[in-house]
Formats: sequence, C-alpha cells, structure tokens
Amino acid sequence: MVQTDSPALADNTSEAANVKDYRLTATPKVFLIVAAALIILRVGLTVNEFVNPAAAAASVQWKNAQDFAGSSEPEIVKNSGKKLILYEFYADWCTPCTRLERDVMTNDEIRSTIEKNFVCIRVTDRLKEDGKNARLVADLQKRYRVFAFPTVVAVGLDGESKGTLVGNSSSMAVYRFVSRIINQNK
Amino acid sequence: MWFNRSICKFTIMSACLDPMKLAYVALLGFVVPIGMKLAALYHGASDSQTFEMLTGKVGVSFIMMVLCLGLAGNTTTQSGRGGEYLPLMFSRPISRSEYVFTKWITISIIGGALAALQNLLVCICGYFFGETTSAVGVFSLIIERFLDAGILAAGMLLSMLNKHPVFQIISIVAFYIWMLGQTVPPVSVAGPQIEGVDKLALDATKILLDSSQALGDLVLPGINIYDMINSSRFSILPPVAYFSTLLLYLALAISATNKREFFYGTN
Repeated sequence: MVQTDSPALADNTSEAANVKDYRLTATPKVFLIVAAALIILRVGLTVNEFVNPAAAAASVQWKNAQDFAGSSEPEIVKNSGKKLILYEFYADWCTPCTRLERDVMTNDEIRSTIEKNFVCIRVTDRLKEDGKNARLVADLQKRYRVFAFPTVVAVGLDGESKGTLVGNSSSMAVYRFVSRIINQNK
Repeated sequence: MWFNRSICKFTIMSACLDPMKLAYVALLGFVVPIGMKLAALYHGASDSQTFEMLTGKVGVSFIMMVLCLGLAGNTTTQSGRGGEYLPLMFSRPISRSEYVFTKWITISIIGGALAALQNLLVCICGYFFGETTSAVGVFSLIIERFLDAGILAAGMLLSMLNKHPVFQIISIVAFYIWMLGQTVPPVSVAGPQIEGVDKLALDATKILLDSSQALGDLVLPGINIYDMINSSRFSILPPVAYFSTLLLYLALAISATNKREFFYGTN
C-alpha cells in the first residue's frame, strides 16, 4: 500500500486497494450465470428426452434371417449378387445391441457404406424367449462361434468369414472394420 | 486478463521436461495402443475394447494423469519444481480466474495434442492394412480428443485446487466409478434364460454397471463429433451436458483457488 501523510488520501488508497483485491479474487459473474443457465438447460433437456423420446433415425436396412428359412448358408451366399454378406447376431433383450443400432448404425457414413457393399442380414437369437432357435440361426451361430451379442461377421463371396467384430463398438471402430473388409475383398 | 504467458510457459516446462513423465506417456500413450493396433491388423482381428479405451477418453485421462497432475495448487510452489523462482517472474499479482484459465488451456492443449497425435498415428497404421478413415472422421477424432482433454483438465484442476478431504475422497471415488463404467464389456452373453440366485446376481451386476455408466455420463460427459456430423437427427443435449459440466468445474476451481495459489507463491 502507498505510504502517505494525508489521512483522507490514505483512506482512498486503501479503498482502491480493496476494490482491486476483490477483482483479483472474485469469480467472474458472467461466467457463473452462463454455467447456471447451462445446468438448468441440461436438466430440462434430460427430463424432456426422458418424457418425450425422440423418433429413431434411419438405420441400416437389415434382412431378417427368418426370411431365409429353408435355405442353407451356401445358398444365401450364392444369391448375394456378388456382394459381401454382413451378419449381425442380435437379441431383442440385449441392451448393447440396441445401443449399436441407435448410435452406430444410424451414422449416415456407416449406413451408406454398409448398404452399398453388403447384403445385410440380422440373425436374431430367440433362445431366451422361446427356449430354442430356428435351424438356420443355430447353424450360423455355431459356424461363426457366436458367444455374445452383438456380433457382426463379414462373409466373402467364397463363403468364408473375413472378419468379426464383437460388442457395441464405437462408430469409428465399425467404419474401420467395414472399410478394411471392403478394401481387402475388392 | 484471462491468460498469462509466464504461467503457460512454466506449466509446459513442468509437464514436458520430466523424463519419467515422458517415458510413461510414450509407453502408455503411444507404444501400447499402436502396438495393439499393429498386432490386430497383422492378424486380421478387429479393434479390442482395451484398444478403444486407450485411444479414447480413458487414454487421454491416462496421459494427463501423469503428465499434468501436480501442475496446479500448492505443489507448483514447492522447491525442486522451480517454484522458488516463481515470485521473481511476476511484477504484479494475478487474478484467480487468470491463473485457472491459463492452467486449464495449457493442460488441455498438451493432453489433447498428444492424444490427437496418437489417433492420427493409429489412422496411418490402419491405412497400410486397408483401413480408411474419411477426412470427416479424422477431423472428428482430433476435435473429440481436445474436447476430452478439456473436460478432464477442468476436473483435474478442480481436484488439485480443492484441498478439502471430503471433496478429495468424492473426486477419487467418482473417477474410479467413471473408469468402471468405461471398462464394462459392451456385450450380452448368449445363452438360455437363467433363474433363481444366478438371475438375481446377473441383474444386480447389470444395475451396478448401468449406474456406473450413468454416473460417468454425469460427471464426465463427452460429445461424439463423428456421430453428430453424420447423423440426420441432431440432439443438443450432449453439447449442453458437456459445456455445463465444463463451466461448473472451472467456476468451482476458481472459487477453490486460495490466496497462496492466487499469488503464485508470493506473500
């Protein structure tokens, strides 16, 4: 603090120093207001999303394996029209499966790449609900050693597995997986 | 004033001139994940969950934990870390917000840049094995790593500056719960319906893991830029969740900064 003989000047200087000290130690008010507003908005949006869930975005158009009942896997490969086959092993009760569908398969870049290059077949497990699976579903699960859902298996034109992706991976991991299979099987 | 170049330079030097810290970052940030990627590509396997963790937000937190802890709070003024020279560097006191913002920006840039570099190297490795990542994908990865670094840096700063023992315990527990949520295998095991005690145990585990993921989303929310850019349906909730948490942490960090840090070691 500045030393002075004048009591009035000393008081003013002291007051100025206090003001300066307050500014240095204070949390910016604008900052606090914006933070509080965003937190309130976040709570409101979360409640709104819980009460009024948004409509699902367009996802990959999967064919159902049940539609191929009576066919064997070699016949499916033969009728794929020179496209690779992508099996998605799925179960209705499986939360990671629904997350993969909601978060990853709705990504436009992934969806268009998959639909352009693959015949997409969803193999839905019904073991928990019905106690048994259809013949084709059981055969496919056994052939590709499916032990968890979701599992995505890419199959080449020769009928051999070209790659397997287990679990609800990130969009980037799915895109890398799909692009590698496509580039290696051109 | 929101930014102080002297504090920025001192923070960068403290973070990047310690050989042990750099060795740790090189191993866990680069050698392990890139090695895992190369091994997976060589054998035609897809990315593992551990790899995804090490190249995502968990990887950023691992890099920043060692590189950036001890760069704020009382530890910065201890002798042996250059703290004894700090009073000589400043001709005037600095504001608390200036101190916190400078530290936050510097730590975020260090952590984000290293994690983004790691992600880019992973993309380059994949390219030689047929994996392509679009320009949008690469851009998204870089932005996501900086966003991850930003919120982690704010959380770390808050935990370094608030010395209250109860808060320290809560922050450590919250970090481990978040980490638990990140390590949950994102699969459901195939098999027939189970009953009785086994079902109860399975349901209890599921509730525990779901809770840890929900708590993780609450304390360290993220924004998936790649999905956001490529989605036909835009949701404003993830950005609002991210920035509300970020601003809350920074505001609390400024409030928690005491006189000692505020004057950066001077009386």
